Amino acid sequence: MLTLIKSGTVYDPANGIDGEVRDLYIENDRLVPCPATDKHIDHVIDAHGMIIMAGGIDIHSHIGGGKANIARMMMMEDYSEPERLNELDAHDSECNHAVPSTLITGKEYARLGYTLCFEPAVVPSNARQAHLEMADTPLLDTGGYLVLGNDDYFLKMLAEKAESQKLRDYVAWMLDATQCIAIKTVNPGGISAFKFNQRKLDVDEPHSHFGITPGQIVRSLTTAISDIGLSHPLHTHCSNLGIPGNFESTLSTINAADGKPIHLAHVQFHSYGTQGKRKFSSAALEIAQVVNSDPNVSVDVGHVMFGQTVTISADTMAQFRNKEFASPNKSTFMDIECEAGCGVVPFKYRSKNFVHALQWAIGLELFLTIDNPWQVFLTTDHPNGASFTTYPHLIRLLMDRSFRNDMLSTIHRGAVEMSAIKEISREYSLYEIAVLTRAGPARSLGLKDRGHLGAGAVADVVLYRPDENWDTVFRHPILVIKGGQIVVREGEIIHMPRGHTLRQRVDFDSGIERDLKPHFKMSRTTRLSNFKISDDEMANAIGSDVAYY
Amino acid sequence: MTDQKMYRFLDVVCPFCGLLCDDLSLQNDGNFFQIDSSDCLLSKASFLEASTRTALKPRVNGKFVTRKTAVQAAVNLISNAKLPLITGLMTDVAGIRNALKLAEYLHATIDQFSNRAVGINASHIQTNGGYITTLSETRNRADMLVMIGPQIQKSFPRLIEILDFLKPDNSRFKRPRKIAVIGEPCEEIATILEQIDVSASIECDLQQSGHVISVIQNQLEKRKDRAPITHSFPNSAIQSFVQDLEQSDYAVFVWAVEEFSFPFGDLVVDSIFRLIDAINQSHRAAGLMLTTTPSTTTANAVSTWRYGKPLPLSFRSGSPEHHPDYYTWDSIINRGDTDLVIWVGGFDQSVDMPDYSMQKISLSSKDSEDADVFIPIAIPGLDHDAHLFRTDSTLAHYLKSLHMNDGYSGAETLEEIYSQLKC
Repeated sequence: MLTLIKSGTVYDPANGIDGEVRDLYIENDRLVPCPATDKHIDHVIDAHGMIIMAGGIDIHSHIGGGKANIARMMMMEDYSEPERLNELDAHDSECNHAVPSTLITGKEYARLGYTLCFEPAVVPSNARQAHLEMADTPLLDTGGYLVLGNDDYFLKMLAEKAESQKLRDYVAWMLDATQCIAIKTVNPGGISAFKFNQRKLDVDEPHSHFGITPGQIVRSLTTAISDIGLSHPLHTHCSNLGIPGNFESTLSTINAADGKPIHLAHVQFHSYGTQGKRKFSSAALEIAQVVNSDPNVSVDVGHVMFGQTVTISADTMAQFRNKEFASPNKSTFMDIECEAGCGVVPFKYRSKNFVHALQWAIGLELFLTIDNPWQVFLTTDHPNGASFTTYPHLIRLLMDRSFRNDMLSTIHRGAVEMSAIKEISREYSLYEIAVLTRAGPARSLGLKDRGHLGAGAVADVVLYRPDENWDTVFRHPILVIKGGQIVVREGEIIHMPRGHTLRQRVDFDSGIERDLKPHFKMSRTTRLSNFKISDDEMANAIGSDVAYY
Repeated sequence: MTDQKMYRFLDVVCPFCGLLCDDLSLQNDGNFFQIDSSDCLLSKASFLEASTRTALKPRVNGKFVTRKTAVQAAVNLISNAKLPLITGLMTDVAGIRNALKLAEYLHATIDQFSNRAVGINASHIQTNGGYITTLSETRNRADMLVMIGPQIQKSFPRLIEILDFLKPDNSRFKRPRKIAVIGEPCEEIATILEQIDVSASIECDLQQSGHVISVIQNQLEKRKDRAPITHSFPNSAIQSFVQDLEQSDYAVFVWAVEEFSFPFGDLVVDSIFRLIDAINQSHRAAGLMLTTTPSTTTANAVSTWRYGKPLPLSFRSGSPEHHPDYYTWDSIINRGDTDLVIWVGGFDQSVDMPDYSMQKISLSSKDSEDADVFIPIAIPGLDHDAHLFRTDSTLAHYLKSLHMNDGYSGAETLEEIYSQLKC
């Protein structure tokens, strides 16, 4: 089956194409070079005047796992309108808005032109559930980042000054056993410290039980990742989330990486100063300055949008601190398997609230002051800052200064005065948006056949209709093609293929299992052999084939 | 006498209680599966019973038929039903997935057989939230374990062993680990308590346990303006309890919510979470919620991720509606709000499908003569690979088939019915 997408205006940063009118050819599930003139073309899509990009990639969105399910249960009052049921939408349903069901999640992402999504906080013992949920999320390929750096075994190894080779093998083994693509650390050491009743942990402060610091954890994990050869750097949720003045922790965390690549997750929540009469201010410019001077640092923003959401995080220490702000007033926390934790706190961001409005502005400041779009990715840390369904609105804020300034007049005046945002004239181009939402995430994760439209790429292609309102453009793609198949046409779901799980192959000394078996037997409540998830289980029982890179 | 070849299976997961212990060693002589690694009576009896099952045949109206005929009969009954109810759901992730798909297609109501009691925990989390923990966390951190309703030792025979309180390595803790018990004593827990360091044993009717917990909280918070200590609870035991709680680094309160199936049982859960919340202001504590049947935890997990809501669900309006009382399977039946019950079993060896007057389709591993249509299915994890969720909802196990019996799984049978209905 050969398809021609004819005469679209292509934005493909990975191949340096910036708004050129081109023809694209799809054969089966891949983009292919222009075929020989005598080759029969089965299907022609007239894309004249249309904007064409690769399928969107969300580098950080909480779409699966136990914490998402707790959030779904807790947010049942937050309903959206029921969707129409029909034969194709056989699993369509009314569902809550902040954390939709897996079925709605897949469909809503597809309707926005996204085809690949990464769950950024897979707790090892919960990996099987995370994959089960992601397998039940149609229309999306997925991947998971494994949460390490609060697990007893790793912390103990670090405290006992284990050889770096052992640490490396452990990290690689865990990644392999849980079918994840990258490593994340969340409040390194802090989740564990909270279990020992430590309520705060600075980057150079020792853990009360293990005696090691978050800085040491970051250093060890970045070294292990470098040794293993993982494409994506340590995906780091820094210490002291949400605390005024935490930008210093963020800078200390960057320093702890010792010049090795590091990715800062939802950096908006870690870019706060203590200036002003309310002792809460933006430190976005300080963070941006460091990012601009260090190509080894990348960030996703975790932008805040106004409205009801629910915050879900493995950072129990921070979430427990934030429970006083819960709206509605309820929150759930969980200590998990000597590995991590989970905190679910409903939250309503209000435009007339000084802190919330300044958080909104800080997110925009970060986007607009980090010079290189390849170092910054578009996220709301779904659902923590807002639902992913707000992405088109966020894109409009980045591309349209006039609209941005109009919005400034609707938020807390004190926040506007404290923010540099009104002085910033930058407007993102379509090319840059394609970097933020496609090419950049793909490159960061080492996905050579994703996020671009060159020959050999997976045929995930999106056609947008130009409009002066960028929100409209990105909210309503005309056509979404997933793996060569049209899945959305004018907002209507046409097909619902199941996705793949993306992984990177890793090598390790399997002798690590000799050390791990007794640990599993003595300290855990599951055996090592049952902990591991095989490719066969992924494909035949979980329902998502593994695609290796 | 002929030599029989023995087969050995290691690290087998036991699916017969919510703990899903995964360290079993099994021997099979070609006939029986026997555990040689654990003294768990529930597990031993259940594996033996499952391995001595006789092969079942499909029936329609009590008469043996081919499986194809039985499936067609089920399809016919379903096609004519106006208010189908899918229940039982004593099955695995794949079975739940397909049962939900069928329920949505039929605009049916769906509920898990043991779900009513578990709904107390779910409702509390939905309404108030809470601080909870998991098995490994309790095993390694808890220096004080508070059992509310000691009958849980019957339902989870290896609980104390799994949590490492039987012969604890106290060197890992600042002080010896202790257990406290609230509720009516039972023989099983009495035997256990003889072997370990007991903080306090407060004997009371379980319905009073909420009040006991409130008294403890008041003492802990030095509140004299709230509920006084009532005559029936020994003050010394409560004081000892409070003292140990104050000194503990990580207290875990454990209960099996099925024990709270009495009027206002939800208030006991409420009081437990309030106490945990009070402790967490300055120390650390968490709740460990136990569910007897892994299928219940599994069904609610799958339902929540696929529809955003736990069971029970009704699809009658076209969209999934959740109401923890109104759509419960027994409420539906008692109201006469169904004309066809589709029972999905698997782990229902010791459970009978309720005998009600409406038409019944039984997909089960246990014979059901009074069902209008009976289709035998295999037992997840024993006869085919299966995913099940452990009681703490965090860990899902992948149970690799022991190939005890051949046969179609519940998921396969439901898919077959669904496919034929769509034709």
